[in-house]
Amino acid sequence: MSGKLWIVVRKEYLERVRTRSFALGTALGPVLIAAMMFGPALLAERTGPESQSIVIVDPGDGQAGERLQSMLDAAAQAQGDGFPLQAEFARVESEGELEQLRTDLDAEVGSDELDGYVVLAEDFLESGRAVYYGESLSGVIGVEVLENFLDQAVQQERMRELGIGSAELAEVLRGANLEKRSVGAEDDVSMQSRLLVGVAMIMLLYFMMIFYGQFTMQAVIEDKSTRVVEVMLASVTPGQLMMGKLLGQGLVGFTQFVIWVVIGGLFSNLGGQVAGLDIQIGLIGVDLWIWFGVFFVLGFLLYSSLYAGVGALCSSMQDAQQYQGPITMLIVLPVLLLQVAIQAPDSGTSLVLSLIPLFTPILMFIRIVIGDPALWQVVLSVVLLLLTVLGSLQLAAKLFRLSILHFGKAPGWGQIMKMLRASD
Amino acid sequence: MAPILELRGVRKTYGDFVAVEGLDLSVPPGSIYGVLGPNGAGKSTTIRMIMNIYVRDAGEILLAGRPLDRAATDRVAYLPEERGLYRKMKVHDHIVYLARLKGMAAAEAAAKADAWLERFDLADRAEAKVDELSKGMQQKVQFIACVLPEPDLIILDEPFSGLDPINTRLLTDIIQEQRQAGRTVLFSTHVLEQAEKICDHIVLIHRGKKLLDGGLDEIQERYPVDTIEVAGSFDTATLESLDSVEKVFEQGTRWRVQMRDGLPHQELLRELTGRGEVDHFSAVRPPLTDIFVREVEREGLQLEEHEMDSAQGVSA
Repeated sequence: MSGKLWIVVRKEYLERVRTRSFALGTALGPVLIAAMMFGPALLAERTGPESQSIVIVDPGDGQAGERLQSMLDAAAQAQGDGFPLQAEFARVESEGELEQLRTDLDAEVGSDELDGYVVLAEDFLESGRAVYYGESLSGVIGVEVLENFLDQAVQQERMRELGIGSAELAEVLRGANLEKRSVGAEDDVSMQSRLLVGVAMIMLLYFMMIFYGQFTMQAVIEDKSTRVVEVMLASVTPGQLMMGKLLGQGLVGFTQFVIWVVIGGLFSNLGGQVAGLDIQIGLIGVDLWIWFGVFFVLGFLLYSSLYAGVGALCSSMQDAQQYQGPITMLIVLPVLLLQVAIQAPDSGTSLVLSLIPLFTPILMFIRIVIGDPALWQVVLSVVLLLLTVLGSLQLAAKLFRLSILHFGKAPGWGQIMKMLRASD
Repeated sequence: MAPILELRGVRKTYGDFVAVEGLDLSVPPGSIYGVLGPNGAGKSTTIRMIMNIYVRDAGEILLAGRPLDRAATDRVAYLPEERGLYRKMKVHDHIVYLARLKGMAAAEAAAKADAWLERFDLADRAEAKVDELSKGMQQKVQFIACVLPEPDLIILDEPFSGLDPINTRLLTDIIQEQRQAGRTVLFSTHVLEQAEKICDHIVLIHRGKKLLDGGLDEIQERYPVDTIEVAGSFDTATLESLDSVEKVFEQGTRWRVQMRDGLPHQELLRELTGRGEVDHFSAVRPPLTDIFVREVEREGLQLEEHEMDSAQGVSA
């Protein structure tokens, strides 16, 4: 009686969709997605204009200082707000004056008014020697830029001595121009966004499998912990009950997913613009969406049925803790292996890994996104996954049937094997 | 009439423990059928095997002459001993859900749920969640879910446990109504006095084996009028010390006295005279609790203290 199955599915769906946690989760999802999309862009924006303020001390004749100043001014003018260096110059006439200035500058650095200062050697333009004093010596963009300009200043001086003019210099320094083109229909920009969107889709798949797998497990345990299961079994088969819960939770997940995709689609253009990246969901081919749908549904069914099997073994959520660990590891594993598939999507290793049904939803999908797997590989992986899903659904229903009235203590692994053997 | 439910040689063991042994039952249609026995007698195990929740080790179970299959379960309602409902579901929704799973249309189930909630004084709780209800209310909700789909056979496992006298009365009335509507009600209880009030037919189980089986009247008529109900100004010890007395059971403000073999009733009255005022003296057939004790002893079995208490409803 498939009619009964749908009554169970409907109940499981409506009961979950009406909960506050569903509304909250659905509302917070886009916030998280937005945070992931806008966050890096906003962070980049914030760190950009924060420039280093330094003082350049020239104890020599002032020539080096003047030259550096004019170069930095020109560069700052050319680049505008984003220029990472704010430099002031100070000339000192004597050793004593230098000592005095350094004491003052050390104090300013200590109180964070200044990021650091550079003391040029007296013969800087010849020797190129200079010392940077600062609180933090690593990862400071401003210092790297400064070093660049110091290089240029001494190089210019040497060229001048060799009699090379600035126009000739520009000609000497003109570099090669490497143009990057990918083989195939997509250009490089769309390839980049394919990878980004692909990884985003996989993260979504991953979270949905974990969350809704656990919801399914909870729903299965609920029947046993509330003891409503005996009443249910007077009307439906254990298989119908299990399947009803799985599909009910699955449809809830799908509903949430659709809501998120719609919202994500609306915001992604905006987010892409902020980040300065060309991410547009529309750029991703229809084929990718279809494959995502296939792997989403199959991956979801696979992991939900595994979690449901765990739920079938346990009579309370506490019991479930000790059993769900291995399942969660099975979901994390392909995410850890994602790097392998991204670096060499069409390698033998990637092929083998993506054919393992437990990894297929994540690894075969990323291969389709960035690699070029042969159609037979994709079809084979889907067939294997489908068979595994059917097997795991049956296993879960069997465990449910066998352990349904073992209220109280959760069975040990040995007992589980015994139950499975006994039912053959 | 052909039995609506029949068990033939049904057996269930848990490891070395035999819970039910060679049990034959034949439930006449349109009857109120009591499955009686002390706690641990095998009543719930039997009912769970009927409901296909436990798998029997041997024997046959037939519903209207056919093996119990999934299609047949729609015509059987079941109230398990372990009560349970979805805690977060609303009362009305829950009743409709269970009725729909028995094959009833949604609209019909909704209308009937309203009427039943009204009758059980729960109309104002229809939109409350199950876990906002007291245990007793939850039990009533579960009972409504049982009878609402109008099944042919209603199986109730210990339906009276945990109910107050008013609701016990209501439940009794409804069970009798169900019979009048042509349905069969099978229920289990360890309180034999409860069964005595409403059953047409009883089966008495002790340690997995059937001791007695038959119409209630017919069983009681097998026993002579050898039990005297007395009340008066004496105590239990005095009664027990009398030569004509075999056994004394306390029963509220009265005593139930079983006469020593073959002695006339007057012998007891004669012995009592002079030991106190006799306010009440009547000869009756033994009640089910006494019959149970006698049958157990006739089989040469010892009756444990708790089984005795349980049969007399002390623990209930």
